[in-house]
Order: sequence, then C-alpha cells, then structure tokens
Amino acid sequence: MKLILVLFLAFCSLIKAQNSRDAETLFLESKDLLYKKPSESGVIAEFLFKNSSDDDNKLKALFLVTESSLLRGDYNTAIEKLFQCIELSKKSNRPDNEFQINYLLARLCNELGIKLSQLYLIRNEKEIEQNYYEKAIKSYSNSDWNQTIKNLKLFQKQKIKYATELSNFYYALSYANLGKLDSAKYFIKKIEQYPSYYFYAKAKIQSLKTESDKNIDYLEFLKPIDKNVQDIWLKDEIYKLELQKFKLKDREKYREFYQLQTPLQDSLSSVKENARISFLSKINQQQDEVLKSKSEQEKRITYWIATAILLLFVIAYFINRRLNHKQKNHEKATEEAKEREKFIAENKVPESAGKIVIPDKTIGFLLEKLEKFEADEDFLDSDISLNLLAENLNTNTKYLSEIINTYKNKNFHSYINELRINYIINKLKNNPVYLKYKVSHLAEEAGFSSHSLFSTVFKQVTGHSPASFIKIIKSELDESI
Amino acid sequence: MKAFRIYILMILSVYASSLSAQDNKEIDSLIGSANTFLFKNPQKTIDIGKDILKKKNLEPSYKISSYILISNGYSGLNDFQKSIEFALKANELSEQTKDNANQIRTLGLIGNQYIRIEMRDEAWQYLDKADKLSQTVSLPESKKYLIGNINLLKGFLYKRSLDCGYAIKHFNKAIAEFKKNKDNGFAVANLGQAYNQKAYCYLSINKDSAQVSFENGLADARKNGAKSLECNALIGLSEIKHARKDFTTSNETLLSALPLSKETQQIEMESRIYKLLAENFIELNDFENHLKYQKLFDSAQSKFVLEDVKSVNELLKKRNEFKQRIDETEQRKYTIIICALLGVFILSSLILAYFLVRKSKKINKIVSNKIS
Repeated sequence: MKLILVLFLAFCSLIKAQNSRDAETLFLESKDLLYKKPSESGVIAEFLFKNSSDDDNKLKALFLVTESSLLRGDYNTAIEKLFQCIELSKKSNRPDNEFQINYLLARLCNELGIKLSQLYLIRNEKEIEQNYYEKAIKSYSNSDWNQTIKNLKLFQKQKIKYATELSNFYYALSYANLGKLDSAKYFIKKIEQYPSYYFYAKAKIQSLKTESDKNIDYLEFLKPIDKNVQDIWLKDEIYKLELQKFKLKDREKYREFYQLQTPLQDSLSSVKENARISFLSKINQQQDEVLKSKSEQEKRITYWIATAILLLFVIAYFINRRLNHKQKNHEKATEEAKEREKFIAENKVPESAGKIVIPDKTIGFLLEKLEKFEADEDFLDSDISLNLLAENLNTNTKYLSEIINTYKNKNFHSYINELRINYIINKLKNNPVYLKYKVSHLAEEAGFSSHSLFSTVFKQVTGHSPASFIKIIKSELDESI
Repeated sequence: MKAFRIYILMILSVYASSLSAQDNKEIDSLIGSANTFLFKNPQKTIDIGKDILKKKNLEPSYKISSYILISNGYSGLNDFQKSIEFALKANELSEQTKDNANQIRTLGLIGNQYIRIEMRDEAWQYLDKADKLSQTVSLPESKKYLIGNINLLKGFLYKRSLDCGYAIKHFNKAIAEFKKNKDNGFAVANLGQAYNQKAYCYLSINKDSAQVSFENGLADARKNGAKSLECNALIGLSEIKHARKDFTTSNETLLSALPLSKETQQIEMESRIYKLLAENFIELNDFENHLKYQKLFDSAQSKFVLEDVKSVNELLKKRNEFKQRIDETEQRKYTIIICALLGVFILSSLILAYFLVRKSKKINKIVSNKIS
C-alpha cells in the first residue's frame, strides 16, 4: 500500500497537477484515511502541505499531519507540527482554525499530562476548555462513563465539524460499560468504516457481557485487525483485552502478548517523557517570544512618544520663530513709518515764522562757520541736529535756522540731507570702490539712521533711487572706458 | 531504557566556606548550622543567611556565602526565582572580588535552577559561562569538585537532549574532577550520581561499559551510604542482567534494591523494580509471582504517574510564575516610563501652547492697534 502511495505522490508531483480540485480530493482522501490508516493519511497530508501555496490549505494539511502523529504516538512530530500550525494560524486568525488548534493542544496536553493552565501566554485556558470532545475522551480515560456521554452530547450541540468521526466509538464503549448494550450496538453500526475501532468496540462489548453470553470468544472479533492497528492507544487497549482473556486460559499466549505489550509501553513512556521535555522547552520558547514581542511593542510605544515630544518642541520652535519674525517686521515697519513722518514734518517750512533781525556781524560770522562745517564734513555725524549745531557754533537755534533758511534757501534738515547726498554722489563719482558698496552701507556712511530714509532723500535730491543712480554712473564709466 | 530523574539539586553548592583571613568563628558556626538545616528546614537556612547579612562590616566572602545559603534555602522551598535572584547577587559579588571558586559555584547554582524549571537555554548560558571560566582560571585542588559539578550538569543536559555521546564526555570529566576531592562530601556524593548517569547513557549503546559504570556507582554509593543512588545503580545492573537473560540474578538484585526504594520513597524506582520483576518472573515461568508483581507495578505506576504529572505541573506553574513576575516587573517599568513620557508630552504641549498662544495674541493685538 505504501509503495502505491509513494508512486501516486511521485506521479502527482511529476505532472504538477496542483489545481485546487486535485488538492481538495487528496485532502478528503487524507481525512478519510486518518482513522483507518493514520500513517498513510499523514504522508498525503505532508505532501499537500509541501505543495500548497495557500496558507489555509497548508494549515488544514498540517492539522491532519498533527492528528496522524498523535494517533501513532509520534508526539515529537505532533508538537513540532502543532507549533507550526500556531505560527501559520497567526496570519489567518480564523475561528475554526483556532478551535482546531485548541483541540489539538488540549489533546497533546492530556496525553503528556500537562495542565491547560500551563499554556500561560500561549493560549487562554478557557478557550481551550471549550472543547467537549476532548473532555469526553478525558472522562473516558478516567472510566467515568456517564460523564463521557454527557460531554459527547454537549459536543454534538457545539455543531463542530472536526473530530466527529470517533464520537460514536466513545458513545458505544461508554454505553457498553454502563450495561446499555442496545445503545452501544446502535452506535457501533455507525463506525463500520473505521475497522480498527469497529472491531475493537465489538470485542470490548462482547467482553463486557455477562457470563451466560460469553459463549462467543471476543478475541475472534480482533482477528481482522490484529496487527494492523496504528493508533497507539488502541493498540495498547487491544493488548490489555487480549491479556485479560489469556491470563486465565492460555499462559503461553499470555506471555506472547505480554512480551508485545511491554516494549510498546516502555517505548511509549520514554517517547512521552522526551516529548514532554521538548514540549516544555517549546512552550518556554513561545512564551519568551511572546514576552519579547510584548516588550518590543512597549519599547516602540516609548520611542513613539519620545519622538512626539521632540517633534512638539521642534514645531514650537518654528512657531516661535515665525512669531518673532512677525514681531520684528512689525517693529521695523513702525519705526520706518515714524521716521518718515518725522522727516515729512521737519521738511515743512513753518509758515508762521516771523522775521528775526540778526546783526550783520553775527550773520557773517555764522556763514563763515557754516562753510567750515561743510568743509570739515561734520554733517556726516548721524547725531547732528539743529540744537547740537547751534551749540557747536555758539549761537541759538533761531539764528541758525533763520540764516540757513535765508542764505541756503532751505530748512535745516534739507540742508543737512542735501550735504550728505552730495557727499555720497561725489564719492560715487570719484571713487569707484563706492559703486560696489551696499546701499545700506552708503546710508550709514552718510549719517542716515535708516536705509529707507536715505533712499527717500536720495530720490528727492537726485530724482533717482540710489540703485538706479549707481547703475547710471556704472554705465557712464563703461562708456568712457 | 529508563533513566531516573536526577537528584543533584541541592547537594551541589551547599558548602559555603569562608576564605577570609580574619577568622570569624561566630559567622563560621552560623554558616555551619545553616547548612545542616538545609534539608530539614530550608526556611531556617534562609533566616540564618539573612541574619548574617544584617551584620555590620561583613566581609565580601561572608556576604557571598550568605547569598549562596539563601539561594539554596529558596531552592529547597522550590522558589526558583528567589533562588536565582540570590545566586545572581552572589555571582555578581564574587565576580567583583575575583573569587573564582564562588563564581563557578554560583553559575552552576543558577544553571541548576534553570534546569529544574526546564528553561534550558538559560541553563546552557550559565553553565557554558562557568565551563569557560573553569578552563581559564586555576582552582585549588580542594575546589576542583566545582568543575565536576558543572560537567555533571552539562552532561545531564546533553543526556536530556538525547545526545549521549557528549553527555558521556562530560560525565567522564566530572568523574575525573570528583575523584581528585575524595575527602569532600559533596564531591563524593556527586561522584556516584555521575557514575549512574553515565551508565544510563551507556545502557543502550554498550552494556559492558554501562555495567562497569553502574558497579562503580554502586561501590561509591555504598561507601557513602547514599541509598537512593545505591538503589538506582542496582536497578541499572539488574536491567543489564535482564537484557542478558540472566533473570534469576536480575531478580536477586532487584529484590535487594526494593527495600532501598521504599526507604528512600522513590516511587519511580519502586515501580520500575516491580515491572522488571514481573518481566523476569514471566520469563522464569513463575506465573503467580509475575501476576503479583504486575499488579504491584500497576498500582505503583498509576501512583507514580499521578505524582509525576503533579510535580511536572507544579514545576511548570513555578516557571510560569517566574515568567509572570518578570513580565509584571517589565510591564510596571514600561507603564511608568510611558506614563511619565505621556505626562511630559501633555504638560509640555500645554505649556508651549499657552506661551505661544499668548505671544501670538500679543503680537496680533499690537498689529491690529496699529492698523486701527
């Protein structure tokens, strides 16, 4: 059979007939074989797992591999595959898959004698406990027949498609143990397609019959299955049944079966012991991974908040900078407006000014002093004012203002500004270095307090803005060259 | 092949002698009495250890000894987390004071605790560290048994991983080191254990080597009155005889081991003895005795399975508690950090928002005044 199966699988892989219908047929076949020939079922499921690209199909195949390994007592493979299932199911997160995983976990835990509460961080105990089929098996192994039937009924109410195949088997055996042989027979009929379980159940029921009915040798029922049973638990149960029979009748036969049972039990207990160790270390690893991912997530949150704080300060810094900029602009504009107003006001010749009589000698003296003031270029002093100049010339502001108005034909500010502008024009024309200077530098050198005031006055005096004036001089210079 | 679980737990690192130059007889006698309480009343050991720690101007070597005592006490109470916590303290201090012997001792102690709760990766980590250290430093002859302990534990771990080849290498190293310290009680006690463990490794590979090792283990156990080890070795020897079809001698050995297993309350060994007796008697065609021992086996085995399941679950529970506590501390740490950071975030955003809004309002007001 195995050879045919291998050839069949090789054929499958050769023609790469992996369309979904073929896969589905193979899957159904594997499922059907699970309780008839677990190892064959496992081989097909393994093949399906390897050749399937869909996660859900992979998972379904893995479930079968796990179950087949569990039945055959290959707990190490079962553990490995089950944890693979858990890993795969994380992606899909479908409730029916979760249910199947929980069922398999519960079975594994029961087989290895580990309480469900120990799956701390891996599974929620209450979620696993919801499976009544597993509870029924547990009650059966504890010889609590009534509880087994009760759990099986509750399981039927859950309407779960998985693991339904053997519920009739447990019904039959529980009823038989309770002496309700008619009910047992009713359920036995339903498991005819699973020969190992069917014939074992028949033999078991026969063995439970009262003395008067024991004319039929119940071991006769076991003959068709005898050495073909792969389910390790069932195998042990069959040995027990056989030993029970031969203990009283045939010592030779008893010895034969005892020598078969002993290595089975020994290997089973050592396999279980090793499986338990690897299961515990697997749980340990999984728990550590869960804890690690948990702490990594928290670390991530911490980093996010820290980044948010940093970002907050950066944003605040930029908002503050914008506000400062706005304030500065505003202050500058105000200042300029003030100066402009001041300039306009000062340029106005007071209409109501009355004529003042100044002695000729003083006029001559002051005009002389003003010439010296112009020659010395004292007007470049940015602090110069009518008061300061009057003081410097040892006269009063009224005399000075009157003389400037009369002899220079302009008010004090126009007088000073024109002197300054003429100075700059002179420099621009005679000293080409000045052509390279910035307007603000020129304004400063001329003694103006601001760039814009300089520009305004310059335009008033020359009719050009400083920039265009410089351009003109530059072009004149280029022409002369 | 059936190997019984190892019982090296506390035998390992109890002896916490002081290397202090200044002779402090009071503390020495306290440590001595704490050691005697270890098996009877571990809580008392912990209390004494804590009392010693309270003393002023305590020398580091005494501190290390006290930590080790407390760690061993907690180990006796099956509080693995506390045991590891104090062993780590002792380890840290011994590393600081360059006390190599105690460093190896404490690393072994930590590794042993992790083995007991089946956290093998962690166990490997500490045992490897100890192994490396023991290879680089030179210990006085009287402390060589500590290297033996590390190798015994490593061999045990390899054996548990079904790697008997490596396991035997380490058991051999352990035996060689223990033999150097024939006067040290702990070295001698573990020597028998190493022989037995090695023999169980050989049982499926080479029966002759297994027999030699069991006989060595038996001789050692008898010399030291270690009954559990003696029983263990006897079962191993009878198993070899059973395999060689020498059923009568095998039975004799088993019957001599039976009272020992009862005395030491080793139900696992008792159950194994019954099983082997039942198997031997059926081979000898003694059907009545076979049925008798098979029945005894069935009841002892079911008792053992129950006990075993209980102890495994108890151990797992401890391990989970251990992880839970680590998780909780971690959680608490992160909750505090996250809360603090969130607080800083909220507070700073409020403060910044307040000042910026105020500033912006002020500027807007000036601007609007100007316009109007």
